[in-house]
Amino acid sequence: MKLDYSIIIDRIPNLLWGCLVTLEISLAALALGMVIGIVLALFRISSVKPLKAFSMAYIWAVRGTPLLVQLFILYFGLPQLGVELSSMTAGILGIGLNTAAYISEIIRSGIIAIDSGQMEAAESLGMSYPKAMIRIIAPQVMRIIAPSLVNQFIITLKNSSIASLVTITELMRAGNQIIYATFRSFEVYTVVALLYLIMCSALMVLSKYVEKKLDTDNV
Amino acid sequence: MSEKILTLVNLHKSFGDLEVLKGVSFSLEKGEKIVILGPSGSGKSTVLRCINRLEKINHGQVFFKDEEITSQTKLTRLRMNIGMVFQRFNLFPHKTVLENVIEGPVHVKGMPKKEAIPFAESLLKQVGLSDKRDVYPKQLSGGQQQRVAIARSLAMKPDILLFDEPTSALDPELVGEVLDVMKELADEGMTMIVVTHEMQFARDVADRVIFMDEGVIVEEGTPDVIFTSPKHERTRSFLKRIIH
Ligand SMILES: Nc1ncnc2c1ncn2[C@@H]1O[C@H](COP(=O)(O)OP(=O)(O)OP(=O)(O)O)[C@@H](O)[C@H]1O
Ligand SMILES: [Mg+2]
Repeated sequence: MKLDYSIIIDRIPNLLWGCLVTLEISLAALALGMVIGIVLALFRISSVKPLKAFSMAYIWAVRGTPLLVQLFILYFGLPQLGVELSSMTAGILGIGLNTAAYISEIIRSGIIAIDSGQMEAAESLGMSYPKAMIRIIAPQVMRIIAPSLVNQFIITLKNSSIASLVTITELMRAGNQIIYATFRSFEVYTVVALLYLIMCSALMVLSKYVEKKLDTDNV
Repeated sequence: MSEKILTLVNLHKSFGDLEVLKGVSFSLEKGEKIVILGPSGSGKSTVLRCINRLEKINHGQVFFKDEEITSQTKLTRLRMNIGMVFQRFNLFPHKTVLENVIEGPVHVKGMPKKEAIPFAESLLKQVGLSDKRDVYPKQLSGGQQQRVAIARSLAMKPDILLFDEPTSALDPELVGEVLDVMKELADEGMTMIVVTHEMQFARDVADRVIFMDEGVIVEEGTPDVIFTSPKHERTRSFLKRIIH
């Protein structure tokens, strides 16, 4: 069978729509992952034992099981307990909760890298712990972890393709649907790959820019 | 008799099994300058850090003026009133010199920026760094960084300043500029506790010298007494080592 990309031209809008959904899931999952990741990181470094233990257990469980299984538990498993999640909710929640574990580890490594004298200097001015965290520690942590964070964003964007398996019509599933109609797997998947590549490249460019910016900065 | 501004009563501090402070007591009058001497590991830093509770105290009491510092709100007030200058400066690297100095007044005390900036500028002038106000710490020499750190502490208008070996991370040629600033503060009547190995500074500035070893105060007295006729063998041998 000869390769024929022309049949895809008509369906490009479907794929672009898929891209939008992919971005939507990824961004929502990242936002969720950031918020929960920050909380988990703070728990992890806190001296309150139960919080620390919870955070460690969470990270352990998430890192030790496949994302696909986690997602299926949310989408196919929870209804059995009477919790019905829409596919979009399950997708964002699953990918977000998964990403949170990795982001929290990135944040924790950043916090650990900050000299303890920074917190002490802030506290010796009378600053409260939360304020010192926000005003003194967080900006320094951000500078350290920005490259790893962008990297995690790329991973999350690619992982969002798994959401196709809980019937979300993001880019991957949009591609699959075209294949059911045309049987043009090679052409469709290569175009899908290209679209992922473009989206990830944008993030890579952003990452290079951020790194450069940090390099020339004063810290 | 002038008023006691700080009183430590029987401080005990352990790190795990290691007992670092074994009952340290002394008090400080307003305007008094104390220099703490002692060999490495004797607990000098720990004493300072217990005063503003960067370390938890296992046992013992800290009184600021006449009030025992126990609760968190009192602790915040205590920290606002007691400045600390660290061996390694600990300036905030993501903030300019000026931002470092106004951080405390603006974000802890709630002073309006309009007021804090001229005040910070006057402090920078005092430590001889007016021209560096918009520079980041890493562009400064160690001596300059330490002077900014002193200005940052002064910006809280503290009643007491604690110095933990403020010159020992500095190249020898930069020590003088920091000691000069400290001497000026002393002359202006600042109450100070200084951990240092700078004997000349101790002689010139201290009202009282405390010699610590192994978590206890071995002896204390005027610089004259401690340096010329120390009572204890441990003090004598320490001074011999330090001076030669
Ligand atoms: N956070 C800590 N955890 C465990 N041990 C500690 C800690 N801080 C200090 N120590 C120990 O407590 C003892 C006293 O330390 P401290 O820093 O008070 O001594 P120092 O007199 O300031 O010495 P130096 O002149 O070296 O600064 C040392 O044996 C040190 O190893
Ligand atoms: Mg010390």
